[in-house]
Amino acid sequence: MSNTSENPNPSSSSAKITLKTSDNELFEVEEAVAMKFCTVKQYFEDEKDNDVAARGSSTVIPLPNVHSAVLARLISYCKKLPQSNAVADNHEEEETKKKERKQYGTPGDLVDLISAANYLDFKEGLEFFNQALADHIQNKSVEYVRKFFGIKGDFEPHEEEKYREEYAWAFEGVDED
Amino acid sequence: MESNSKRQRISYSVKSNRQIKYQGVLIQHNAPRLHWFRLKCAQNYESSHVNAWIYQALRRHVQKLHLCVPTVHGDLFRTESLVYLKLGTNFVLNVPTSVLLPSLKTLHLNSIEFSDDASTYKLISSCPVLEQLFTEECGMKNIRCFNISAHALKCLAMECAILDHEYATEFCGYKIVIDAPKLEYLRLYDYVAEGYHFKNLKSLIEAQVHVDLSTRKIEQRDRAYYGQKVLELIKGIHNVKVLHLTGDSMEALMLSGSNLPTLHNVSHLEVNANKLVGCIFLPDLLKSVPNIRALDIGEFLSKFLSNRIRNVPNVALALREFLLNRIKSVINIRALDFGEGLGSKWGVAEYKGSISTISHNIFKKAIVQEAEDRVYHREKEEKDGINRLPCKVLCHILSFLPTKYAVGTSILSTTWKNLWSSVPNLNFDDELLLHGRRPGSKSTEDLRVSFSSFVDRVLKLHNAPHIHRFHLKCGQDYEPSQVNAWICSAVRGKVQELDLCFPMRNSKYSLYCGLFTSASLVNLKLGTKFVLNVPASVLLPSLKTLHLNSIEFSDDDSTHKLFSSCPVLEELSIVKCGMKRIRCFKISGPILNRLTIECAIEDEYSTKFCEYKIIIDTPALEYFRLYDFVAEGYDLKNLKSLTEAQLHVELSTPKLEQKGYAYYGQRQLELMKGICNVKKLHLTGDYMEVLKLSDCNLPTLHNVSHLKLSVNKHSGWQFLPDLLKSLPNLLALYFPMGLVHERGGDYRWDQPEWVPRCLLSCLKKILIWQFQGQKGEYKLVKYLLQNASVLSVFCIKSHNNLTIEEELKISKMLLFLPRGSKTCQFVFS
Repeated sequence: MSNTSENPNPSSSSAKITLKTSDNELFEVEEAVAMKFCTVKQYFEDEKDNDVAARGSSTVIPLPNVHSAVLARLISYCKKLPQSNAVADNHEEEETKKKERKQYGTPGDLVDLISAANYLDFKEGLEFFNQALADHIQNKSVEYVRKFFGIKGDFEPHEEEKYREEYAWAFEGVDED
Repeated sequence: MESNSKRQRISYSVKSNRQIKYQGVLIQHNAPRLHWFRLKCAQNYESSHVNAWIYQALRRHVQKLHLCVPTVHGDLFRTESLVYLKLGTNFVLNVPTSVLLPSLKTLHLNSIEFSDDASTYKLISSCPVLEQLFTEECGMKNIRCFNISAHALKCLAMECAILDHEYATEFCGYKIVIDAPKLEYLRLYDYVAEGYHFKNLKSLIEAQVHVDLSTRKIEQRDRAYYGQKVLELIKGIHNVKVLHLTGDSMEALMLSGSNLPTLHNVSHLEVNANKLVGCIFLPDLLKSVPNIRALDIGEFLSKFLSNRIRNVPNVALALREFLLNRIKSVINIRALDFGEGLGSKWGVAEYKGSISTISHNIFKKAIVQEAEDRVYHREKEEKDGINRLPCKVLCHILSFLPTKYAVGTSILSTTWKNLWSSVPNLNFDDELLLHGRRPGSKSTEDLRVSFSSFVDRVLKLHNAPHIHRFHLKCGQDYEPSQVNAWICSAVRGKVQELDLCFPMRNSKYSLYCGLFTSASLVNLKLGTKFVLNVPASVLLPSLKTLHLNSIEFSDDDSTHKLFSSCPVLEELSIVKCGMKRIRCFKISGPILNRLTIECAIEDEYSTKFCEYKIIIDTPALEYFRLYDFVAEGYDLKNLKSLTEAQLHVELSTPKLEQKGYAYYGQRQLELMKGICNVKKLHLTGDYMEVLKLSDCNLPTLHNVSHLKLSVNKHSGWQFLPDLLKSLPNLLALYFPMGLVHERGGDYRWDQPEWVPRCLLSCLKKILIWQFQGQKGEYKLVKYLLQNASVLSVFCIKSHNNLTIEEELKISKMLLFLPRGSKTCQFVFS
């Protein structure tokens, strides 16, 4: 992932940034990768403004809301990101993308990833994982989705009955599992 | 004392012999502002002195003032800085004529006596930001109408029912009027008043009510009279969610003899009955709170009930039924012993948020507490749950779903209930309604009605500030007016991306005309089968992408008007559109970057004749794709920026019969001349055939550096040498579909005697995919390899169907082919 066109200083394109997760793991990532996370970028830029001398690897950026396991997956996703954001026009490409989205496994994992991506303000990741989660909800019964995501139905029984009647048209022909 | 600190607190209990000293403190104290000033005088001081002290505090912009003095300074009622005021003394509160306490948030009156109705009302209504008002043990004997009107008031506590106090007014001869739209908490401990007039208590969350019937009162009037008054009170607080009633209140209610109003909002009820009558009233009370979720029966009642249960069997039965059937959680019910085996069932106390703690902690809103509890429990129980994501993210997730499924999430839980309505994307597809349905189970008419009402309802309930993307796809025929109403909603919602796909048999149908003047529209896709009637006024100032699929153009002028009314249009795609009314297809756009025209389709709109001329004037065009029958003429102007062109032009048989090859050859020449600046050129086999048959002399295309070719069934590579001849600067040659047509066909390659210049001087790269190893293929490859003198990369991919042996054979054969370039790299995969 070269960004030489943006960065006049070629040496800094390979500069590393150290991120510290909630469980005190240290991650050394390429600047280009770290800059995908707007929260990190903002922090990094603020740091740069504050202290010109403190640059690159000397800065450790704390991410108290992100666990190391999640960050590792986000970074690996980030590295896989295509260079160009070409729109998937044809059907085949859309199918491959769908398959790719399915790889991110359990809903809990996805929620972790989304939560972290949201905290890091990582736009592409948020787009991708949210879509992956949406794939899971699509055309599924209420019971399935509740079970899948551990949502507790907190409506009163009569209330729920009322809504179900009201939104009956939204439940026509959904898969039961 | 830290006299320099900004926040100061002076708290003295002054003894008479220290009067002078005390004054000295005030004088020496030199902080610019006083934060808290508390003065409590147990003895009588000269009122002038006390007033002077208070004045000192007021002068220093005191914010919190707590006075326990026999008299107060009139300026007190005009203090701008005062936020908190507590007056706790036995004196008549004479309110001066001019009162304004603009910052006062808390007013606490303890044991003072109100002088009259008007001045009391004036005092309270002169505190515009008053949030908390407490009156405790105050003398009310001069009051006939206690009128509290405060717009910011959140918390009100009135406790006057004191018997043993000199101001006690056992008669409570006044009416209580409250007008407080923001009131959340109300505590009333008093004798029954002469009337209750509560207005605007819409925000009320919690109320604690204790109204006593004094003997003297009952002597005066009958019990029913006062029962009515209590009913008035309950009606006034009917919005309340958390209600605490004392036994006396319940008794008074029972005496009213009339039916209680239904209190729909009450979810928590605490009763603390100390009298048998109150206890007997409990079943009736429970009837009027249909949505109760938690019931706290005070300990006294519990004991009382358990002792007397056999004496009041109807109460016990009613309670049992009620508790078993309707209540989810009961607190303190364990203390009850209703007899054999039932206790355990009734003792199910699922509810964890303790209502009793709420009742003691009067300033805490019960609902907030409950919500916090719920969140806490949810977090604990659903650590992996999706609900921990912020609403913004959940909305984003829903935005990927067709609206049907997004709406379906509304009954997942309360968090999700209204989430879908803020999702900026709407995606309607009537096919989803058919999904999973057995054919014939519902007539299409039913489906249409059901889909229509679905869309209507969603649009009505949707409340995102803007619609970002609106997608409507219908397989059925809907009422034109209805479809247009939907589109209208989208346009009004400042839609940016509009994707419409619906059939319309009504030939007079016109799209909602507001669509053509939408200032917000960036992306428009029309994929429908109807005539595109463009209205007289068109302006799409933001439109960047326009995709037209399967629509039919109405005439030349309106079509051109549409294209030229999009000043920032960057991408235009016209696919499978009906062109039979078009004679001159004119496309122009100052910044149009990508243009696709794909009309060579033989369905109902296909115009095999293609009886129109194509005029293109687009100075910024970089990508041009044309898949069509040969047109009646091409006038391509200004294609200076053209980088890539994909061309497929077919000759239809009826045309050839009409006019000869030569005529169409001329047309090809026009097209080729128009795109002469192109750098990357893709040609299909059919097009090469047309070029060959029309026998035209291609113009030299100096800029073409990349050429991609495919082959058709009949013509093979006969035209390749001529084509290469007109591309003197070609760098790379690609055959992505291989050298042989998929379905076989004639393979024709007549090796020319001569060699095109580009092969000798500049062609660096040849790529052939789907190589099958046929004889003819080797011939062509041999010719290219032999003559490409400066070739640096030669890359061949074999066809997927080949075995490893066949692949090995091919690679051997290819390796032994003679090469014109000494430095060529050969890649086989």
